[in-house]
Amino acid sequence: MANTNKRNTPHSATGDSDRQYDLFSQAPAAIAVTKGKEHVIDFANDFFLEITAKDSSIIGQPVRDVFTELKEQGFFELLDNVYTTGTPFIGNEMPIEWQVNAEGKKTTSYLNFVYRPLRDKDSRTYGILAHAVEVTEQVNARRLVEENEERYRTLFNSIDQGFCIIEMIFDDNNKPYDYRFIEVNSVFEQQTGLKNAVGKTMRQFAPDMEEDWFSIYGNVALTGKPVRFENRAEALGRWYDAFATRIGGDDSRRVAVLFTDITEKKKIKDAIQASEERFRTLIEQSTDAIQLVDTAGNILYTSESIRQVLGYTPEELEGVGVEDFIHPDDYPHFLEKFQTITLAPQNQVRLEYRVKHKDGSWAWVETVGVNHLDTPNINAIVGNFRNITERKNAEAEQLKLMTITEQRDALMKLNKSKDEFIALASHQLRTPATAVKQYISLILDEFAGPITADQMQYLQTAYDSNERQLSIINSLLKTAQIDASKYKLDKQPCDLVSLMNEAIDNFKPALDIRKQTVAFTAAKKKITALVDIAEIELVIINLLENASKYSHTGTQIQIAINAEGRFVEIIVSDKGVGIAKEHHGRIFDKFTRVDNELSDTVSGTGLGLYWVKQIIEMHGGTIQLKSALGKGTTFIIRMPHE
Amino acid sequence: MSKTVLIIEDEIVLQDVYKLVLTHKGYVVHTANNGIEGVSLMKKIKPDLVLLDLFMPLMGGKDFLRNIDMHDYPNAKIIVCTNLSDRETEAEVLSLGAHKFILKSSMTPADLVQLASDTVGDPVG
Repeated sequence: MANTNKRNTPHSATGDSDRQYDLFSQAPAAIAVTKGKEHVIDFANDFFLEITAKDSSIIGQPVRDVFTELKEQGFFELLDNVYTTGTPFIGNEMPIEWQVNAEGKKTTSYLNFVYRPLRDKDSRTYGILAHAVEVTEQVNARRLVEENEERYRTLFNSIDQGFCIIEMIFDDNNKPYDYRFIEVNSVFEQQTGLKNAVGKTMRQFAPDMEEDWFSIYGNVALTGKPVRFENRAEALGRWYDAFATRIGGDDSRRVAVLFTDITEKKKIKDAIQASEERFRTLIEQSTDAIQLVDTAGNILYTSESIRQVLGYTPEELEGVGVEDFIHPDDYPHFLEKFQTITLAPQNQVRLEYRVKHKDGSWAWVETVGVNHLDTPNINAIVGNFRNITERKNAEAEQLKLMTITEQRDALMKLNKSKDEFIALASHQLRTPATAVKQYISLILDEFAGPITADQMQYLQTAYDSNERQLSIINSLLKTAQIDASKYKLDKQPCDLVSLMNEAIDNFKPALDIRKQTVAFTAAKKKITALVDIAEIELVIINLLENASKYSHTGTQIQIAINAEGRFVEIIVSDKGVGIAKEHHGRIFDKFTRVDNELSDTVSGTGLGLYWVKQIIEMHGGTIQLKSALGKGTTFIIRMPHE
Repeated sequence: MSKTVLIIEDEIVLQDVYKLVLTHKGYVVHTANNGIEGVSLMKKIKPDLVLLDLFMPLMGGKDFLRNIDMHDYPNAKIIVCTNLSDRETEAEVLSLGAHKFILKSSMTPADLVQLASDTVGDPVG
């Protein structure tokens, strides 16, 4: 049989078993026969030639010469082994690299093949039947699936998120009731705390698992809508961030769940949120207003409490400079303190100053300012301030009150001690003067024997002088008593006309010396008033004395007593030196003596007119002065009858 | 029967001059330097007239008046002689049983003798 390239023609070198070869030639598998230990190709069917990309010229040649590309792939050795041992070789999915074109490009085929020994009647091997089926496509397809699965599994196990596939379990009412873990990844246990979960249901682990987990996954399984959610699993004591999606078609009840344990994150977030909330509440509820300002003094933020503290809204203060609100008198001090704060982080100062209230008034505020320029999320100077206007006012009021009270107390104390001093001094001064008076009297009364006229005159002078001293002491004491309001009037009905006449009579010797006269007129014969007789007598004598002392020799003093309704009027008028207008204001003051042309010649304590005024006022009356320098003086007393 | 005068006065110079003039006049005069001595002498001598100072050490005149029972001395007249001229004090001592209130500095020895005579009569008779 001639060699031929035509397919469907058996290709045989020896012509052996032609019928058998005919059978092989059309087979849908690659079949070849070799003979001898050199494996000379005796037959190769069309299919064989096709998959090996050879032609019929290979017939009659040893395989080692024809398939040089297979030299390193172990096939020749397999053939040798089968030939030598007579044991068939079955290879499954054996890869074979073929040199398929002139460019030397190789391709790999996968073959299932059998090398079967051909034996003669003596059972000696004389050749090999090679039978191969190409399975390259199947292998490649399976490889692809395997690779994909490998990739998926690697992903599945390498992600740090928990992953599981669950199958939903519904109750009779098609309500999701439980789910079974079909697959879990390696992180699953760590993220859930559930061991060997595959095959078990959720309720086996946690019978009281929240219903919403089942309803969420159930919904995903039923609708196919993926869902992303955060939820707490009380039974596991954890929070999860989960993504669930159905896998498979409409009938699938499987859900893939990708999840992360966010318990810690959640805790931190909650803590931050709670802390923020707490501080925000603290700031907003605080009666102090909190303000953030930049280093230029511009307001960045003001808390709500500002409404109560200063009447503004936080919004209207934003971006405004603080200096616009501060009292000009307090601003320099404020600025100095503000600069101190800005110098270094955490610098803190406290100060009180006035700021303009929304209503236009100045309000006192107390501020503590802290430098938080370097503090993250603040980066400002933080001031909290409260309105202390009421406290300031109260303090000022208290201070004023204290000052007044203290001053009054001090004055009263001073006055009291002065009065006490005068009273005591007067009393103590009286005793030695009294002794002098007594002993001089003894001699004057010639108790110790007769004395000469000269001796008597001298002693009388000493006696008179002592009397004057006693009189001054009495005046001081009386003044002290009047000042201390210890003086009480002893009122009795008195006819002022006769009292005046007596006084004029008593004063006659003094008038006579100065050759002065008194012209006394009374509106009625008898004018009665309820008075302290001794005191009114003192008033009359004082006025008479003054009129006489400050008038020149030979002048007349005019006295009148009038009764006008409820009032009695006593007028004492002289034509003396008079009192200059500028002295009128202090003429009734204590210890006042006004210099005039006669003041050198008259003696006096400066207490007389003070008493007169005090006594008249104690009687509910008034005293009036009419005088001008050189024009004489008139005193007008008006007091009630009773 | 002679009249007895008790002078209760811490100021010796005044005590002396009172004693001098009153003794000279014929009164029997005893002296005490304060209220305490005065109280014990009152019981002993039962005087007709007492001249009583107010400001004295140990016991003053007001305390003296509070410490004697005037019922024990129905005939005794007490004249307060003081240099404290104060209407309140005057009213107070009068209410405590004093007969009169005299300002010492206003009185000469002759005035005193006259006062004693006017109050309790002449020493003998």
